[in-house]
Amino acid sequence: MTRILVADDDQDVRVALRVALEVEGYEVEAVPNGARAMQAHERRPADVLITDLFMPECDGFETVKHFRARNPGMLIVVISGWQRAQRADHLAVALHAGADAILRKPFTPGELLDKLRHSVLEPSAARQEE
Amino acid sequence: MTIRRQLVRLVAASVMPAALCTSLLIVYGYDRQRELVEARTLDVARALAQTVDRELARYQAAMLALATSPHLASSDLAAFHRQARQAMRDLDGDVFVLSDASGQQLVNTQRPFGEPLPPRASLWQVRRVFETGKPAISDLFVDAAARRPVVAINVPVRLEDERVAYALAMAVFPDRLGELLNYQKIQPDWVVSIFDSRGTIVARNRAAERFIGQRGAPALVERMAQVAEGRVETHSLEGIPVVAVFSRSAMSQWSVAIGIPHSSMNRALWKPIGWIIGGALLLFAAGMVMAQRLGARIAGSIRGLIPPAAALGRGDPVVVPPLHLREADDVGRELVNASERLHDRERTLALVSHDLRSPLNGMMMGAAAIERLAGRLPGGERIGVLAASHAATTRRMSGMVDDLLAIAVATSGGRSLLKIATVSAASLLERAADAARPLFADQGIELEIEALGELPEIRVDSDRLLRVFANLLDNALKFTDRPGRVVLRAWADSDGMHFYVANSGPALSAAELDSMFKPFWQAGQGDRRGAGLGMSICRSIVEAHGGRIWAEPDGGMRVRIGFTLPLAGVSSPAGAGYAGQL
Repeated sequence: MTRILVADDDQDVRVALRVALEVEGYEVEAVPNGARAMQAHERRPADVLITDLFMPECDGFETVKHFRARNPGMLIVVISGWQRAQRADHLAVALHAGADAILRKPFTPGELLDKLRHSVLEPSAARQEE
Repeated sequence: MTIRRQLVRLVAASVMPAALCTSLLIVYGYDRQRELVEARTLDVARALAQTVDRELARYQAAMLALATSPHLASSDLAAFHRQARQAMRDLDGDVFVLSDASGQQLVNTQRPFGEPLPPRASLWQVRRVFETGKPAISDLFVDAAARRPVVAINVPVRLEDERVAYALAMAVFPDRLGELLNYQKIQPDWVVSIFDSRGTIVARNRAAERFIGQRGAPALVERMAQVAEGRVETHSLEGIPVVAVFSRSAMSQWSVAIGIPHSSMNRALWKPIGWIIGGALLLFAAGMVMAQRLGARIAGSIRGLIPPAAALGRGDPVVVPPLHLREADDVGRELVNASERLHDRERTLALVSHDLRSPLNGMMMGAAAIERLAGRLPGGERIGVLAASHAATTRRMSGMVDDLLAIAVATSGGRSLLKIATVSAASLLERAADAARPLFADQGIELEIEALGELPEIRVDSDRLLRVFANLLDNALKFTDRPGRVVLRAWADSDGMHFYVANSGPALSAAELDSMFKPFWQAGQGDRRGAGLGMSICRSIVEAHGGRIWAEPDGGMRVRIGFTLPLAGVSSPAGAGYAGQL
């Protein structure tokens, strides 16, 4: 089963994302910041990282860089409340740091699942078939 | 009305009473000056008249003295002839004539004694002396013997019994009187004449030979007959316009008149007044120049506020240079403050819209999860419907957050927050349609998308424009009854990129079409679906792109909202980096 790590300082978002993804059949662990995501990944490696950009203690940029450096094949999706016009530079930095996709809040579960299916489900489905 | 012109008017208004006063003073001064000049001239005329009188009196006194000659009492006319010739030389006179009551000349100093003499030509003068027994000065008359104009002074000669026995006459030729006019106080351009009691010119300082013996100017002669002293506007005999002042002697009834040519009078009057007027005009002009300069300076200071105000309007950083005018500097400071407050507000709006997105996201995800989970539960359909409605509500709220951001775009004059990029109009249209289709499908309203011809690439902020499409389509959907249709059409021509959204339904009134783009406009009274900002936000976004949006009737449709974007696109504004400073 594809394991997804969710890092977001908003607890409601964490809960909603976790439940929504679990309903779709993913294994989800939700944490409030990047540092906790790293710990969780060490404890049990994940296939996908969904992270917010602005969080206390190790923000999204560092988190993305950290994960990308150690996990070249991992799917990293950045979710942000900043509109492109407001924070274009930050989103660009996030992509540069190694994010695979950017999702702007609020997004529908469908949009998130699209990203996951397009990028990761094939390999993970293949893995499941193995 | 410019400040400069206002100031000039102010100066003119301040100067006006003074100018009026000055004008009155000048008029008054002119009159006074004229009176003064005339009075001074009259003094001269009076002095001349007295001189004439004195001269005549001198002759008369000498003749009266001669009339007491003992040779007359003793009837020794030969001796009297000698004495009279001597007296004539002493008196520097011309001729003495002694005649009897019949006018027969007995002695004539110009003839040798004893030569036969004719009777006197002016017999009436002799008669008058005999009748009155008083001296008499004649008016000018032409002497028959001498054939030239002459004035005669006649005195009676009384013998011991007080009876008038003879009339002694002295002829005075006008040139002798003319010498009196070589008076130093006479201005060279004056016309000075001595008139006898009938108004005949006896002497004149100019062209004497031509005018002696002639009557003076009629107006002057008439006036001189009425009053002893006065002034009259007339022409000299040469035809020069003059002011004539005159004085009549009480003794001889002769007058001296002085004609001051207007040119001379004006010279005398305008010289002092000219200085006053010149000075006043100079001061006035100086005031005007100062007002112009001050006005230019104030206008410059105020004009200096235009670029900061324009920058405030555009949402650019406001910099106010020193304006050297306290009020303008104050306004400038307030502009800077306003700009800062505006930026604070934009920042707040941006932050709030960001912070709202996370909880909205949570709600949306949660609702989606509930919907999925409910589907698996027996009897969970109703929960699923509620969750779907919850998700839809969340989507609407998300739209409002976008509106909030759009307002920030609008209040900053648009450009600073626009993120301009080149996109294909076709793909933009496609994305707008994709976003709207599910909603239309839900409502059972038909959505017709139509691109006429090939659509070009345009330089726009796609997110903002998608918001325009979303608002217009959402609005159209809201106010279209089933069965109904909404048309989204796009085409390009040399004027720009054109779009319109039309929906079926009863046509809106002209007044409604007019007020549609005002903030807080609501289609139906009491309809509180949304804040009524949607259309005004659309306008802000379109106008920020340099475009135009309007509502117009469309046959058979409720309304057609059209908007046009310039093909050249919007250049990426200088203030775009501002968003990055958050």
